[in-house]
Amino acid sequence: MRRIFTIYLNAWQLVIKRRLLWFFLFIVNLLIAILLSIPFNGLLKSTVGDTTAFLNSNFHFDFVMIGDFLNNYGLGLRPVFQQSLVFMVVYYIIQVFFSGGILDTIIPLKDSEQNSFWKSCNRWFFDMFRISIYALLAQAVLLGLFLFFFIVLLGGISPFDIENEGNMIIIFKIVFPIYLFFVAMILCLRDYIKMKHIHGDRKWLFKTIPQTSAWLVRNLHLIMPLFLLHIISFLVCNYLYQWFKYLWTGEHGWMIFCLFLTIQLFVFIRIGIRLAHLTSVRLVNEFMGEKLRMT
Amino acid sequence: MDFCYHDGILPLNKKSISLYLGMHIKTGICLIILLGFIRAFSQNMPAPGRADYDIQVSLDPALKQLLGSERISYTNPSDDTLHFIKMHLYYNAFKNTSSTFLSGTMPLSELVGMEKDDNCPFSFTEITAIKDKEGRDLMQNISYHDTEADNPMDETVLIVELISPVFPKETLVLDLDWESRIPGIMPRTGSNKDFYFFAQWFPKMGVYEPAGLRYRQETGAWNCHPYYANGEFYADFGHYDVTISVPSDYLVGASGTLKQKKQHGLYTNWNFELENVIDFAWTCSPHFIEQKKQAGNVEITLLSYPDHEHCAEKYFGSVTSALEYLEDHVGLYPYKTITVVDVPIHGLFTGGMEYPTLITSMSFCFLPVGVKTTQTLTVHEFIHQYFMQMIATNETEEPWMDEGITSYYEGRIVDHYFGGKRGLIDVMGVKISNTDYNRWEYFAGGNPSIADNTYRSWEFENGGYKLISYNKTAVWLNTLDNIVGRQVMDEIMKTYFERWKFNHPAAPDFEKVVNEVVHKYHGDKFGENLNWFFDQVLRGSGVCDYSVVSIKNRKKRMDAGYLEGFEICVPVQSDEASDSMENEGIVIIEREGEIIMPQEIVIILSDGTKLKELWDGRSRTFRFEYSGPEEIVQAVIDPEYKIQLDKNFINNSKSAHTHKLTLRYYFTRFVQWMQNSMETAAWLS
Repeated sequence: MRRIFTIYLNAWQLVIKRRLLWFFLFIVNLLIAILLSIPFNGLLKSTVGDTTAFLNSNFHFDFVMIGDFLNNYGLGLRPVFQQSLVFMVVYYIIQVFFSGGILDTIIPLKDSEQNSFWKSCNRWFFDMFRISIYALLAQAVLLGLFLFFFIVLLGGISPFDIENEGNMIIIFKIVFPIYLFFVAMILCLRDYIKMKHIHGDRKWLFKTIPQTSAWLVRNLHLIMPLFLLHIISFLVCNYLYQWFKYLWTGEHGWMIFCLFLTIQLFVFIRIGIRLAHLTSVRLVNEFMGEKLRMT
Repeated sequence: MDFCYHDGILPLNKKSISLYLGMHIKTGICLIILLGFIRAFSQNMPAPGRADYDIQVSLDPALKQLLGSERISYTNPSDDTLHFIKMHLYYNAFKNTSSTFLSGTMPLSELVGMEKDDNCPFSFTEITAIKDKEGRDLMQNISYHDTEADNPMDETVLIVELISPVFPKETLVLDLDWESRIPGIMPRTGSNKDFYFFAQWFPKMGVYEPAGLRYRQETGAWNCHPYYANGEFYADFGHYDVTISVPSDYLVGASGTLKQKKQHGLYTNWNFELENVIDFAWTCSPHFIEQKKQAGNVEITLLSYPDHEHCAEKYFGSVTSALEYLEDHVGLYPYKTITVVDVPIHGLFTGGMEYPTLITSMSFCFLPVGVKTTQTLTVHEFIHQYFMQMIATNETEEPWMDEGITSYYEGRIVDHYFGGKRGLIDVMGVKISNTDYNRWEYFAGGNPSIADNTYRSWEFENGGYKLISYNKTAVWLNTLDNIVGRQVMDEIMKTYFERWKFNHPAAPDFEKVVNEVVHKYHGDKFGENLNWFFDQVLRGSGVCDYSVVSIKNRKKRMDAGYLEGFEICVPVQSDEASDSMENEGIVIIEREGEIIMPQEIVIILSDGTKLKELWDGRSRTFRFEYSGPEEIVQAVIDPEYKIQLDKNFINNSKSAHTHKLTLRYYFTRFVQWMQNSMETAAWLS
């Protein structure tokens, strides 16, 4: 347990040391979001810019106004959402691109050769992209498998076949945590495969995958609690964010500015948590005394 | 006797004066009598028919069969002699896919899983014997007839030619034996596993509407529609004495009060009785748990499966609240019982329905506390005890009269008892009231102009049944409520209920009550009557939308040009040189929709002053002009959102300048959503 906390804290220390990278990732996220929001802002200005309808609710959730907006101006949202989906895919690919650089350079190498971040990103992008796609496919297969098991255990999903939904709830409560465990395993496996591929045998990806899988299973007692620690960090952060967010609802400009800052702080910390997770992947590797080249 | 008018003037003498007065007094008395007669005649509504049922039925779970015998005592309400009668055999709607019902709902027939198990999910009712009170056999006199849908395959309407006609006000007695095959779970009725629900399960009299009732003018006629996919039921009031024989391990719930329960061998006879109702439904299962609670004089019985035992308070609370509210705002609930059936998930097609003193609802174990769908559905079905049961409108021809009025009260009751603006949903910051949700559903659930409220249920063949009958009606009733005031609205509904309970009103009867009560309280405030309102919302399919189009302010300028003669040309004044000049403000409002509603308009000036205007809403545009030291900063139509029919409240208000706070807030939130979504996607990278 102490090892896990040590790795966790060291990971955060390294992330803080590499705060330029952290900040850079945050700026990329913010700029893309702002770019996406410009057409939305234009739509708002042309439709609700001069109405006072939204002020009555003090910017709390107002179903009537939201419903009227969607009913009467919702067509204008379609291109905005379509564009958002495209940019989300672009952001995903950008993060895949960065993952190689992060895993390669987050801990400075001991020998004299210093790989620059951008060089590493470029060098490993294709392999990282392949690994990410394989992981996505694995998640899809996992989801399909668990849905299948769930339906088999339930005896069918037609409501006419279900004896009572109490059974359904019980089966769900058993199956869902197991499913989550395997989701977490695939997420970890993906990152460790990336790390092993960069710092191990660089020739054959399909050799790295089974070797890393076996290694992961052997060291599950270390890897999963560490991953869980990062998830808990996210949940705590999210809980605090929700609490702070509701302090800033009101019809004053400074409240909106405070809300914006709160949001940015939360996103910044989220990115930090992701960086810390990737850093801890490297640190686990170092901790286990593995050589940089796999034998 | 004559009067001698000289040049039109009555001679002034004792004789002529007394004759004059006498004649006018006699005329006056005649007029009073005539008026009284007219009034009495207009208040003297024709009574509906009466159909009493004495039914014995036995359930055979192994054969999925009901064997029944019944005695029907039907009283002819009209001045017409009836040579034949019409009856409903609703179970024949599920006889085959060529029936009017199933051919109108093809995806439904696929949904019920025809290929599953060995049990054929179809059903029928077969009359095995029918005799009149003299014991004469009428089996050769029966036929199936469907003129409306022109479907020779449909057998849901039975015609019986009588040997002896039924004279006006006479009672016909018929003895029937019948056999029904129980369907798999079909809409509203059927069986699945060992859950049974029986609705419209027995041969049931159609309604003979006498002259003067609903739309019958000179003579009466049968009103006995086939069973349509859209649309429900219509029946006369009567007494029900029903004995149900089921295996002894089954628990039975039914309309009415349990008079007696007697075991004989492996079967138990349950005897229920109910007076002055239009229908009788029942259910049974060996898994039911029965819970009871008293709400004043009414005993609430809840039947649910063991995994839903803990949901009891949702049902008891809903029924108690609805009962209390309706007794306060509409009228007294005259029955001693109400049974609520929480149908199991494999019987879900039977959930969400209403029968006299028995309703079906549904719950799911996993629903969060803030989601009040169970309570909403239960309240809705209970309200039907008033609108559909006690006021027995023709649900097939005028579905809005029960569904729409019920949806209106559903919103009032749910929002009143479960938290106003969060009455329906209150989860994780999302708050939705029932009334607002209903309005949203009307505008978002399809084309709000697809039909109007005069459509009969089977005429909604391309959609719009729920939208128009439920949602639209509730929205215009809410609008009416807001326009006339809650107190007057309650008076309208109380008058309507008291006048038409245990009868069959039609739309003109409801409109008449509204006009009468509104005139009594508001005089001519809304015109001679509210027909202009009903013409648009009931008989029209238009949509209402008013918007503030523009606000313009400018400095009042002095006239320019050659004002006096041709020598001095007064230049145009610029705004900068006009500090001391007045402002001119113009607000343009448009009627974008077809519906015309009187509007309240509030104009807000830069010093905070509010100016109120009333506009009749008729013309396509309305111009408000202001002249004074201030500027117009805001214009608002219908500031209290009284006209719920308005499809867009956002364009009801406008500021002279862009409201930056709104833009900044939603821009910030959108950035947040994008950032968090992208970061979530990044975890998959």
